[in-house]
Amino acid sequence: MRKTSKNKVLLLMLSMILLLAGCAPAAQESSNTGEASSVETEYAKRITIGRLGDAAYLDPNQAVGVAEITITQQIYEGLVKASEDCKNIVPSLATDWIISDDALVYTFNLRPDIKFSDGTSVTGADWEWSLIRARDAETSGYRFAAEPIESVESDGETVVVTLKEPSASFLGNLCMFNLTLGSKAHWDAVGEQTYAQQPLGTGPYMLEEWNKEENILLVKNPYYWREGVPFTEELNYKVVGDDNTRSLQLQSGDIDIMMDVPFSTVSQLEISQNVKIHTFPSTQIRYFILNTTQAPLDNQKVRQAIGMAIDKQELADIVTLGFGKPAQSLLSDTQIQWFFDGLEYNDYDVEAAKALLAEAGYPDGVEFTISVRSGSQVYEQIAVMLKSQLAKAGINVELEMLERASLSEKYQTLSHEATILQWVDDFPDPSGIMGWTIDYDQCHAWYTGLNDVDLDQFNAAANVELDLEKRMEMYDEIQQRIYDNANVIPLFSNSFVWAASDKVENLKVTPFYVQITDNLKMKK
Amino acid sequence: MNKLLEVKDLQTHFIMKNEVVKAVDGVSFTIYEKETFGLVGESGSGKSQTCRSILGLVKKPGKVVGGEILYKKQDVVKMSKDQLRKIRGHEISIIFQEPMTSLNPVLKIRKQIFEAFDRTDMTKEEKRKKSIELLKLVGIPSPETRMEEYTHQFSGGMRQRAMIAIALASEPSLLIADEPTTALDVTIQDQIMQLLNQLKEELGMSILLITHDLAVVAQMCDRVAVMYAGMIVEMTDTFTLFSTPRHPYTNALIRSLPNQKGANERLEPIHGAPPNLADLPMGCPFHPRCKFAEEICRTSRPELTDLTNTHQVRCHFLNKTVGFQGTFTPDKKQGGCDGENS
Amino acid sequence: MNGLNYILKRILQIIPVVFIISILIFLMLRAIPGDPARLVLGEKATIESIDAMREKLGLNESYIVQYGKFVKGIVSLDLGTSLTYQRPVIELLRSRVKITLMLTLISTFFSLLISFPLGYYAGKYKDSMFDQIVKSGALAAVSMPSFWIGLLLMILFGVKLRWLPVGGWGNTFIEQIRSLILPGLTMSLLTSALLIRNIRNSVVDISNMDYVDFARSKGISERAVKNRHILRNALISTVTLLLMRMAYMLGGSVIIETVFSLPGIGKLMVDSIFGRDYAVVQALVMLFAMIILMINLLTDIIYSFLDPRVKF
Repeated sequence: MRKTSKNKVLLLMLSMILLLAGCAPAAQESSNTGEASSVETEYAKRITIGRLGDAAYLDPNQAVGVAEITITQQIYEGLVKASEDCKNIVPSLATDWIISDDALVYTFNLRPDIKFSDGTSVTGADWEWSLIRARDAETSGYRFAAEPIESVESDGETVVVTLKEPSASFLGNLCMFNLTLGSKAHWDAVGEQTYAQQPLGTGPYMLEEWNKEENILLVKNPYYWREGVPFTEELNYKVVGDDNTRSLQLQSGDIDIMMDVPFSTVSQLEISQNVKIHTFPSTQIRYFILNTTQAPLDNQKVRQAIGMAIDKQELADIVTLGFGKPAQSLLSDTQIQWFFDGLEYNDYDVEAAKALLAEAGYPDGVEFTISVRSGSQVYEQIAVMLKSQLAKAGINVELEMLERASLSEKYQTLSHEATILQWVDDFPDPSGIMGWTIDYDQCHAWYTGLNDVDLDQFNAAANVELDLEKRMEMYDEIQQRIYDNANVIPLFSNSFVWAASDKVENLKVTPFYVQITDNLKMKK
Repeated sequence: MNKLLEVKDLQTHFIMKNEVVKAVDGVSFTIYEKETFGLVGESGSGKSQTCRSILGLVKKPGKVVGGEILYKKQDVVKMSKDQLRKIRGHEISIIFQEPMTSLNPVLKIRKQIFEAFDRTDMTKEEKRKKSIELLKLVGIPSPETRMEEYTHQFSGGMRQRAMIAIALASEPSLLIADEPTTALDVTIQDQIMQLLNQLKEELGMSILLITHDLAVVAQMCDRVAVMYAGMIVEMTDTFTLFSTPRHPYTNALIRSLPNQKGANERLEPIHGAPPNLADLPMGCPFHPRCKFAEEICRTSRPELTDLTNTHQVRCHFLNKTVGFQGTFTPDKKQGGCDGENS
Repeated sequence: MNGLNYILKRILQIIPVVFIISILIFLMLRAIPGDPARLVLGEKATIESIDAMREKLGLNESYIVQYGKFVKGIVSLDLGTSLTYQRPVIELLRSRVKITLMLTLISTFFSLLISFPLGYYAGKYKDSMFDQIVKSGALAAVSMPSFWIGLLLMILFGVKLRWLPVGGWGNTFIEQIRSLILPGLTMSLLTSALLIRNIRNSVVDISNMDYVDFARSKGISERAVKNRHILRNALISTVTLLLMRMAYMLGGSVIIETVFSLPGIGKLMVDSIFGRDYAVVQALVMLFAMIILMINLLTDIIYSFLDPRVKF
């Protein structure tokens, strides 16, 4: 390798850099704004949203997580949906409905002339296929929502759903993202794998372009049944894996909205001009999961003592930096109708914890291991703080950091002692989290191994209690009993924190982490 | 005879952080056309640095700090880089001691010969022809094929020959040979020596031969200078040096040669250690090892004085050394100038 | 011709090595805890759905059957489908490898640009002020964490000056090159530091060689001395070092790719391991093995061209 005239090379290099830098303004402009839509000349055609990870399958009935649901929510719709404040259930593709007296038959009247985003009309067959599939898809983790369905019949004007047994929560279940309408014809035409890569729905947006691990571009559904909605023509969901990079991109204008803002980044973003922080009430809570099949956690008093030895206020303050608060009940207080505000709980009291431990037969304290997910700032912080807090009550905790796969294998096989998990509700009904926590069959009572048969049956009864008042009472009792069982100890709840350019208007996220894009707009 | 190279009071010092090493400390000699001039001494005596100074090849932190080097009446010390380059190769060439490290291991021999023709406007064909001639001249068989080879494919003696060929490529008037045979086998040594002599005759050039081996001096040189601690301590023609050496160091050197005449005389080592050039004792540099040393030797450095027109010695006690007899009679006829100034 | 035979022999030797590696990685992946089915389904996976997924993915079949399918896939160039990305592995690799390859090339380019002049002059003016500065600069570059430097560069050139994009990958060729400038620069720092030290030391050593003086003594220009003698010899070891660094860079860099949001191989490997995406990990490991082995061979070949003392 010879060293040629280095001066020439240097000069060439410099001029290239300058040339490319000169291309900068042009390139950046086009990615953000672009041509004005004909009507509103002062608003941007496209809004770019930066998020942590890409979706794998855009089919709500295949293995999905937050990354997928965020997108499918804009593409697929169901019969009903949660109202914006998430208190009520309101019509979506159905206009109204009648529930039979025995609560087994639900008859929905459909909106007329609904089309899929490719222009094909919705048929009764599509409804039947979609709802049954939601129940039967083997690899879906959310089948439980459609579990109560016995049969579905539709002639294209109505949908008649017959349940196996009465379900008090079923209408809420229908708000779930996977009980949405898909096109059978499309499935037949392209097959299972491609169906997940080329979604077809009736929702406000449709998939225009998908560059894996880079971005998903959604454009307005030309056949959408609601007039004037959505406002913005294009939504570009960009994958930016690193938190720091994402916030830098927000500041530089490369993205307009930043999802998943870590609490610690908020103060830095607040300082920068042109950026606004948005917080939304959420149903997100972190929980301390104790495996009741392992001593000493098999002892209820021990578990209760642990609960007393946790300073939840301090946890919330330090981890969420003001965006959260202590949680006592399993259920989020955002589920206003169902939240039990009369819950009897124990205050943070180290001495009482010690006393209770002694009573339980452990005067010298206890020891166990918390298995924590490595690579997540929030989980690691919680774990470290728990360790130091619990130590004051003579509870000595070992922390075991594991990567995601090892960790999930561990707790899903009940080989752990304790771990920390979280939950966000998906619909305005407590049955989601209750079932998950209490139903032993689903996941061994949220990996705590506590087979409280009595509570299980009580919960099952609450699921079918049609009298609203009575049902609310039952869930109050359930919340208390869960608290007393102390196998799942709620730690704190926090708001959803997003950040956006100050030109963005009407950014709205529901407590169920649904982004309402109806009127989302951005000034040029 | 014409003067080719005149070195006048050359000072080459190595300036380092804590000390100054005076490698060459006031050296003067003259080389005439068509003669072989020898520079003898132990390692560290300054002989290599002297000849490097002539071509401006002294390695940092060494530097020529004083004196003149007049080549054909022009002072090399004061020359610009460009002027110096004109002299190198074309007027004065040098060959080094270790041919393995003196040739570029990754270039073909042919290319290294061609380099000598860089400044000419010869065509490639002409260069090729000349190269083959040169290789033949130095006695390398099958030059056409051999010149496409690399250094490591040559034997030691061949490498030296190749180096000589390269050095002669641009027809210099003075060839500096820095210990050209030290790294070679005895048999090869002899061959190379004969080659150099032969070339000298054929091409009419002068040779400045650096060596620590007196036998080589005897075989090759017309005139000789003996160096010690960066200075010349004795300078004369070869015959005189061997028959009537006058400096105690020269005498000691000669005595340390295996005896040619009688088998009885023991070899006499030179007592003491070689001098530390950074910290030379005051006075005569040789005095710590000299059996004739007296007070004046310790305090005053003797000058290089003329014994005769053709014999200079640097010593306070020439009368004491007058009885020195060499043990060696060179069989080579004495050449060089004989007292004539030109 | 002997050389050609040797090269062929070496290439053939690569095959059994890769084969053994494929078995090793196959077994290792299945030996570590973690179930791909569980991971794909996420936190809210029910036991039932996990079982169904395992069936679907063929994870319940015997290892021999699974390995057999794997080998069959390689031969027919069907490397399977990625679990996490839901794309054919080949397609996934193709796009990712392209990015990592381009990043490697740009990074190499920057490294050469920076290290050659600095290394050469540091060596030429050994112990001078320039040399000291270059040496400490190289040390500093190696000591600073790359993600930090990457972020700084992004803040300066992306956010403040708006000259270059803040991470991400572009669509057009020009955009792609622009998005690789900062990561390429960041990545080149370590390589540059190593190259500078190597070049400097080589230059110092070679400049002291007798043949450099001998070359000078022929009266050739200083430039010819520099090119034909000093650099020509000094760079032999540099080329080897450079090729080794390139092999390393072709393995991708998780840090650089994460900070700059570049979908490259490094992040793919790490994510796939965490996600127990067997097909991808297996394919990647074999790809890496081949790359390293091929570059080793290439290095040997190039070395023998550069240094005639070395024979095959």
